[in-house]
Amino acid sequence: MNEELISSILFLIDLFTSTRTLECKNSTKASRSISIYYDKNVNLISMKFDIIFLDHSRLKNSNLREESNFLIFYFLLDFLSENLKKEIDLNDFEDYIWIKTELTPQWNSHKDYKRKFFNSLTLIGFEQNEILVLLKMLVSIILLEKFEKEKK
Amino acid sequence: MSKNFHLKDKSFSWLVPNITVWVYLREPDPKTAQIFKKAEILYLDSSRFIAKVRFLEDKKEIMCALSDLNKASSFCTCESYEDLLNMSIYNYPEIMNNFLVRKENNEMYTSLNDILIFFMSDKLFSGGFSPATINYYMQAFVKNMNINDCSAHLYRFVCKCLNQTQKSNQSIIISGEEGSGKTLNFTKAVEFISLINKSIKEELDDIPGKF
Repeated sequence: MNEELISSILFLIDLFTSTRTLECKNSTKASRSISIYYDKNVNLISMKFDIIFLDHSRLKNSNLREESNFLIFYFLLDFLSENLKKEIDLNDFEDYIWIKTELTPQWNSHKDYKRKFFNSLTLIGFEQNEILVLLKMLVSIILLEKFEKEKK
Repeated sequence: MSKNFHLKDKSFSWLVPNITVWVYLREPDPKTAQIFKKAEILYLDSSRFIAKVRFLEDKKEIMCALSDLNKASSFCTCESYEDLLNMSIYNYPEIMNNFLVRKENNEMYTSLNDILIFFMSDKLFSGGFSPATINYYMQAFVKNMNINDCSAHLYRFVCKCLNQTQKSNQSIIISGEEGSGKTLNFTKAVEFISLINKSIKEELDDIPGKF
């Protein structure tokens, strides 16, 4: 376990479980639990991250007109290249009702979120094709709202 | 004003002329938005349960009800208690004033024995989590210094927990309202634990356990 790996895990957890609300720019919508294990020589062996009580309803709650959805969706729309967006069938904001444009996240201009995101996934153990599958899964979650509309 | 002044009601028996008290303002102060202000009692009327007080700040004199008065310590208003257990008087204005003074002095943390209280402000004191601060607490822990001598901080709290793991497993619970700094403290604590791991390898003896 090194600091870079821990920092990457925390960054990804923030991206997948945080939203922007009226009260807070980076509000965590889940409970986190970390168990830290070390050996007799006080070497950090492992950390176990648990995410519980994730606010699933926020994914498709169109009543939250003044608050944003999870940060990861805005990250996909703001930072992915056009080619990658085409590959995973990701369109612009107007196509997705659940991804509100009224209250988008405030990204820090000094941070290279795109590089950190892909580096973090690689550090955790994701391969390139697995990262692509993950991105497609995220897009499919956004697309669920279109299926619901057609169902009605 | 009588020299031998005794109040019949026992709940106000601590009130004597010329002492310093906290006065509850019915409306917040327009400049500071505070609802309590320090004042000196000039005159007490036990029959009507009112008092005349003079504010220490602007020397303004007002009449107020005895129930609006709270005990105040003679502690200097520019100083504060790092551990609330050391306070001599426990009431709402005393505790809030302590927090206010600490915030103005850029002290992010206040402790209450095993509880750590953190203030979230827009102008967060960046030095609180600087590499110099991390190094300070890390060195104190690694060199087996008395960590309680260091000022109240998240890192001191984490070091104390690590010390206690010799006896039993430890837990830290971070709780607070939305936007109060839970994620920030969570992240800083985890990063500190990973950084201290390097120093522990070199200096400490075997300490088994789960944290």
